[in-house]
Amino acid sequence: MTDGLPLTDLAFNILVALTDEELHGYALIKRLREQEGRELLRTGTVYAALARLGDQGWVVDSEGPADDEDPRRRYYRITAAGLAAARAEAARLADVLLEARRKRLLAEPARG
Amino acid sequence: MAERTLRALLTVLLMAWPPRLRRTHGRAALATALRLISDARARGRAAGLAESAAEAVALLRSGLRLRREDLSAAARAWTTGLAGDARFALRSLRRSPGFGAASVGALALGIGANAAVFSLVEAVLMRPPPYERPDELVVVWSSLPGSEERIPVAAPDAAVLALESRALAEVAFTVRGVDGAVEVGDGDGARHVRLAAVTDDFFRVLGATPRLGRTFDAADGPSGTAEDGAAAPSAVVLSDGAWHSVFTADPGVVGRRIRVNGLPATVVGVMPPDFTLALAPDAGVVTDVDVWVPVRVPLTSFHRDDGRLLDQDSDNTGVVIARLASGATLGTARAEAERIAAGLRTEVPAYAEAGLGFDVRPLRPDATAHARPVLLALLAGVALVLLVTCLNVATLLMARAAARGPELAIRGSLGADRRRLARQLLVESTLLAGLGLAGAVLLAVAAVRGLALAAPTELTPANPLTLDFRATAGAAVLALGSVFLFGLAPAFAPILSGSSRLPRAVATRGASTRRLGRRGLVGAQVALSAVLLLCCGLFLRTVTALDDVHPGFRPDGALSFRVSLRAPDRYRSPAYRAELMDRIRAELSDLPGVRAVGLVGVLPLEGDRWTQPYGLPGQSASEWSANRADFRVVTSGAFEALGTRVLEGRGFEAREDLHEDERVVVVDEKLAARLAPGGSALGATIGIPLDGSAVQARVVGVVEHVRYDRLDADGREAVYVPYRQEASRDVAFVVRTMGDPATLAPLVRSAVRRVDAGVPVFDVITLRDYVRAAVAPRRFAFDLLVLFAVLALVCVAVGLYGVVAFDVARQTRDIGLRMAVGATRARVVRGVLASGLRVGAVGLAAGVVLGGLVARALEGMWYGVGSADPVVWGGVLVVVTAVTLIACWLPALRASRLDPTAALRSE
Repeated sequence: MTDGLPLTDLAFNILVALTDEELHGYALIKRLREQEGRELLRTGTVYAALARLGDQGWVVDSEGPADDEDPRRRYYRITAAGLAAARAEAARLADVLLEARRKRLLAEPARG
Repeated sequence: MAERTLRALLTVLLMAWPPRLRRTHGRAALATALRLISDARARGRAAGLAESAAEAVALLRSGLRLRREDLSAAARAWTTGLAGDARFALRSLRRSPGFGAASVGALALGIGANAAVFSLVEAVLMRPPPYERPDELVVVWSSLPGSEERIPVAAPDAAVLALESRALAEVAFTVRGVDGAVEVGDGDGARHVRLAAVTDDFFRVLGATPRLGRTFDAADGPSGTAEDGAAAPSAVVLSDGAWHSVFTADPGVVGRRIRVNGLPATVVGVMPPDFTLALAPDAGVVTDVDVWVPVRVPLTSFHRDDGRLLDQDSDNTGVVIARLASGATLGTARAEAERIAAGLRTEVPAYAEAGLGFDVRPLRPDATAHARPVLLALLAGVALVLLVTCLNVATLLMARAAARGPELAIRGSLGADRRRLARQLLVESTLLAGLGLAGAVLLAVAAVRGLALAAPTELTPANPLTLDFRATAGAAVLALGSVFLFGLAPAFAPILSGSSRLPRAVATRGASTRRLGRRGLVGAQVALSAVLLLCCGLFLRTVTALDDVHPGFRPDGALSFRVSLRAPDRYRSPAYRAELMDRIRAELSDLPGVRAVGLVGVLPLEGDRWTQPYGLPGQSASEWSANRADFRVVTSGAFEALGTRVLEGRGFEAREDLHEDERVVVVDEKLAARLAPGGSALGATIGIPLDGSAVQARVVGVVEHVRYDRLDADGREAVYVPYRQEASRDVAFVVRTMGDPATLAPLVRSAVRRVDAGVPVFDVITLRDYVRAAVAPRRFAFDLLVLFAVLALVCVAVGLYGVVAFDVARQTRDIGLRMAVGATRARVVRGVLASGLRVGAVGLAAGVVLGGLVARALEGMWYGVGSADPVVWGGVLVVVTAVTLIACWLPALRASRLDPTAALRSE
């Protein structure tokens, strides 16, 4: 389980994106390109990350929703192990953020 | 860009991806990429182009990165796997220490011994001498028809060669090394040195550069001498040894004034330590030179001693060293030399009668010809040892592989694939090879040191002996090759590993093939060991026969030493020299325990020669050249001192040492038999050359024949003349004592010093040691061969033991069965021994055939024994059988002690 941690930034973001839904490659890239600094993310990069995640057993292929217009499309789904890995990474990042806030690198979130 | 072209391009770029990932994600990635590109195209043509390019590059780069990651992951896995394999290999080797010790030992011995012996052979035979382009150098000897002897060339003849030869570009001449005295001027008196006079181009012809100062140039030779040339100081060049021993390595030695043989001289240069002019030792030309002086008179002015038919005991003979002209070959040089010799024969009647010619030989091969047979024989012997050890290691590995069959099968059933197994075996083989190699290097270094100490002078190189890495590498390749070949075999040939995964029929067939293979390997080892043993035996017989040879004198109980009267102004008159020698003889006789003292011009077995023709009664001078005899000067007491029996008549009397009333000679029995067959030679007269003319001398005594030349050849007839007649400057004394002659050594020095302090005394040695040194090369070869044979036999014993023990273990059930139905223990033992003996017998048969060929090929080295000698062959048979029986003894005993019921129950 500790193999493969800490996750690369891209891998973590892919897992986060897949947390609540299955996505196919094009949609995933579009989603990721919305993030800051990732506007020009390329196919090769994303699919390489997907391949590694697949090797780890954190992402698997999926049939996709039944109402998909293109039956040939390949969907990607996160696994339970993948969720656990994403959670662990999120927790780790939260710890780092806590420390950053303590050192006044980042403002406290607004209460309420 | 068209959609189709783009798709094709991206597909090509996808090839960078690892196949597995390409299969799973390739199509999706392609589709997504094309979609993104078409999206960008919608925004504009330029955007579309930019996106296409970027996508293409990204695909390629990510693919390459994936491949790199895959590789490093695999390498990491491999290394951890490797570490595990190494630990396992070490453990399994520790668990079978017998196997480990035997195989590492065999490897170390085989590789190490070969490296050492080859280093010696390389240093003596193959290393190029410190001259420029040594292949162009030749040495010229005088030759007589029908003889292979190397005869030194007379100085005037060398001058003729230099003048007339076209094929020889540069011709240098070195007078035979003689004994001389050097006074350094530090009050220590005269020190003995070996001198050689050389022409001024000597060092240039060889292309040798000095370490300090310079070598000779034309100004040092005849053309450079002024009117009073003889009195002006001569230049001298020192050898490195002389520089250290006489001048204590003084760096400012160049320019020092010294006296050489009483004459003033100046040191102009020092040669490097590895410089020497190596020549064949049997030519009687001393090459162990300390000091070189230039010849200061033209060679043509040297006395040729016309009429003194072919005298070689003068200072006017030496060796011609020449360099072939560019474009000339040895053949053309030889032909031309023959033409020049023919010309000389018309000029010098003595040459025509003798048929003297020139013999041109390549320098290096001629100088090492004497060492070649022995060294090559040793090389062959040690190569056999290497073969035996390789076979031994192979046998051990084969047996081990068979024994591990079950283990490998279990591993196979647990999922180990062939590659992992191969890796495991590779690691094990590497471990074995590494240990063996390490042991080999240690052994080789020690062995080289041992060889350098033990080898006789004829077989040692000029420079210190070091380990030659090519030799180690060559032997290592062969030996380690067998390790890897037989070590890895089980992975690639399951039939060799006895894996029980194979069907029973195949497994049993495999078993008998393996058994045959193991026995074949051991049999081959037996054959090779038999060859080694055979050569051992033949050498042993040769050496003992040589020891038994009666050389014509008695080596035990006598001491010999040499003196040299060289200072030309002090020892000018022959009468004075004779008187001096007589006084020395008298002083020596007075020493305690001395029974006899005599002067001998040349010691036996020295290789030095003074051979002249003589005339039988009634022969004319021209018929003399058919008779050649060794001439020796002796004083009274010489025969008693040497222990040479006087058969008839007498030796020389004391009076004849100083006065010559009548020309008398003593001859040996061989000559006497020619002179007066069946009768007595006493009183007969023979003709001998003396000072350029033929004189008649009366035979006053006949002594037994002495082997002057070599122990293993009968040699020539001998004529002894009184010392007074020749008054040679370089002679030897022999002193026979009642007690241990070695104790006399310091006393003889002081005795000579009492007579004349300026006379150097050197080469003090007991006659027994002196004779021993003559047999040294053969004895050395024998000692080494014994070692090799023992090593080979140990390997055979270990190998045979392993094989037989293994078979006994395998056949436990069968043996139990046999014992259960009535076979006695004795029969079981006999059975095991018989199976072992069968292997030995087959190996011996092969060894006999091979050995016969080898012994025949080395015919020239045996003395007193034929290559098919039954005693030696019988000995080989006995030894091999004994070793076989001993090796099978323990397993046989174990087999006989088996409890039949337990055996039957075992697998």
